[in-house]
Amino acid sequence: MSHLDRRTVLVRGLQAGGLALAGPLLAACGDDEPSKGGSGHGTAGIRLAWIKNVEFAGEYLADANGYYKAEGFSKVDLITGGPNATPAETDVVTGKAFVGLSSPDRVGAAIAQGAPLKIIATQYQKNPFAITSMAKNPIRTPQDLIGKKIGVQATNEAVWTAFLKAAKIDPKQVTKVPVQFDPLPLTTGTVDGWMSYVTNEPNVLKLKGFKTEVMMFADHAYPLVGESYIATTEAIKKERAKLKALLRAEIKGWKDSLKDPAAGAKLAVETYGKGLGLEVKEQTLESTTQNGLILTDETKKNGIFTMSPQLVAANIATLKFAGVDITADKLFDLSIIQEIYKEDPSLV
Amino acid sequence: MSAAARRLGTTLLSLVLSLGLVAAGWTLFLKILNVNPLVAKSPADVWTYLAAGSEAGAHRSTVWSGLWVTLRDAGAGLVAGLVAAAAVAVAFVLWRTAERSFMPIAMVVRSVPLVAMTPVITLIFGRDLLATTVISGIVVFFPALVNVVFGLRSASAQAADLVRAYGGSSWTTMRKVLVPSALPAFFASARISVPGSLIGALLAEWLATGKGLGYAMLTAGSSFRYDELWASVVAVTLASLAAYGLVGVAEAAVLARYAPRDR
Repeated sequence: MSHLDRRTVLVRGLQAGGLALAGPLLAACGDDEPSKGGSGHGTAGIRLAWIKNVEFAGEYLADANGYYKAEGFSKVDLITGGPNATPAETDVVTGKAFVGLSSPDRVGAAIAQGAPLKIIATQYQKNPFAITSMAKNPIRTPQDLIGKKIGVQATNEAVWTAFLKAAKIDPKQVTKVPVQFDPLPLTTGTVDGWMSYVTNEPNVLKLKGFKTEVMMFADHAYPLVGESYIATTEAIKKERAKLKALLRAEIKGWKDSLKDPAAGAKLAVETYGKGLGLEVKEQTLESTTQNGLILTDETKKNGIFTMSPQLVAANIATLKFAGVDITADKLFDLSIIQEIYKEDPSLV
Repeated sequence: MSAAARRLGTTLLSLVLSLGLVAAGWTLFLKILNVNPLVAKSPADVWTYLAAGSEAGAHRSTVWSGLWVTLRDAGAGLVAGLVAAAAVAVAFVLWRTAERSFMPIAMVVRSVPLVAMTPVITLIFGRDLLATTVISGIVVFFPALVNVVFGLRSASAQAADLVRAYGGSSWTTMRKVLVPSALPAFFASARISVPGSLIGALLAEWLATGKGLGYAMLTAGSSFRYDELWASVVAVTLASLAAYGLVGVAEAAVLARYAPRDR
């Protein structure tokens, strides 16, 4: 989640209103056949989970360093998400994007509604959602939420509800306040806690000189992964080579970002997210925090984007607890990412 | 009696016909554009969701509970907006200076996009019924104000002169002549304000209160619950039509008493 000023969000709100009206038309446009022009895999769209900030450092590096081209793509479209965008699931299902970035809770809910989607790999091994609070009025455990006012953005509503269920907190005991994405109300005391991406709001506030307390969902009964790659079951069946090529380019891009967090930050600020008002210093901090979510002992050993069977099991168990009853083979198909590392162990 | 029943019958028949046409056009539109059925729901899908499906009861109560909140928000906004518009219009006609000094402010309030103004409104009025009433009321207020002022000014000058010649004050003129002749304009604005007040209420729920259909539609859209989203749109549309009809009934009753020359 990025640091956006309110006006930008509002303007986007209006644009989204327009989009909602034009929705059926746009969805229709998305039904076009994927273009076959050029050599190799042609073009592909990646629907990002958020606006073009450093959250997608690996994608920017894969594009800028030519990894997509090297894998046979004539062009890879990085399709922006954001506070009022349609869900990534929708864009992938309608064919507007080839793959999308989302999280198991959202994907699971979409699959329950009949969306033919699966998670094929995952960037964040730890759930990035957190409640940020001011250090003088800290929220350290889910129990601390009781009686507090928490700012929750509408797009994060589903995650918030699921977390409360998983943490066994009665939603009636917490006052939810609908907010947008600028954490100003937290600093003024309008709310006591702020639903955040751990990479984003805590770093934004830190650079502004505020002392904050961060409670990560991952540390409290919510071990769901984040920034997961989703593709349609049809693509998984029929376009494996293209998915593999795309993921290989992604792996290379993200390995560059892990080596140098500042590189992706610079690209986000100066090229891909130009005009969003991002700052290099803050984006580099975000990038560094983010790398901590991607690199774990397991991914160091097995390669980034992989998921261990234990992690898959923990995700399914949490989802069930949070009200999404789904089996592992309906939600995940990790065969593609496993084959990639088997075919080329040097990528690890 | 039989005439009234026949009239009611024709009204209902034309309503059913136009709803049928809308449903057919909707289905056809989705068919022709070949929109993905997971996202774009047809009238049949909405019917299954709300009435025929196995969990239809639970779905209905989800949509109803949201709709009631939205109707309450919109109703409060509609009444507040209309009352304020009527009061200000009367003041404008009685005191010219009031119009000259207040009208520019009203213009400014109306020109600032509501979406941009909502955060300020929530800071001042909180995030409860008061805020939704203010936001929804602003949508209603301005068009109603212009209409009612026009209605008051279009009163018969001879009738007003007559009241004055018999020693009536300007307040008596207002009561006896101007207000009755502005009633048709007032009810016309009330009718066109019904959809406006609903839009204002939905917007307020989205940005301020987090309750009602306005927020439910947003979360449904962002968590792939498209059945619920489309069903909610249908519910709001039908509620808007029904409210429009109700205001029409009130209009007919009042005008039959106070402004029979227009009937």
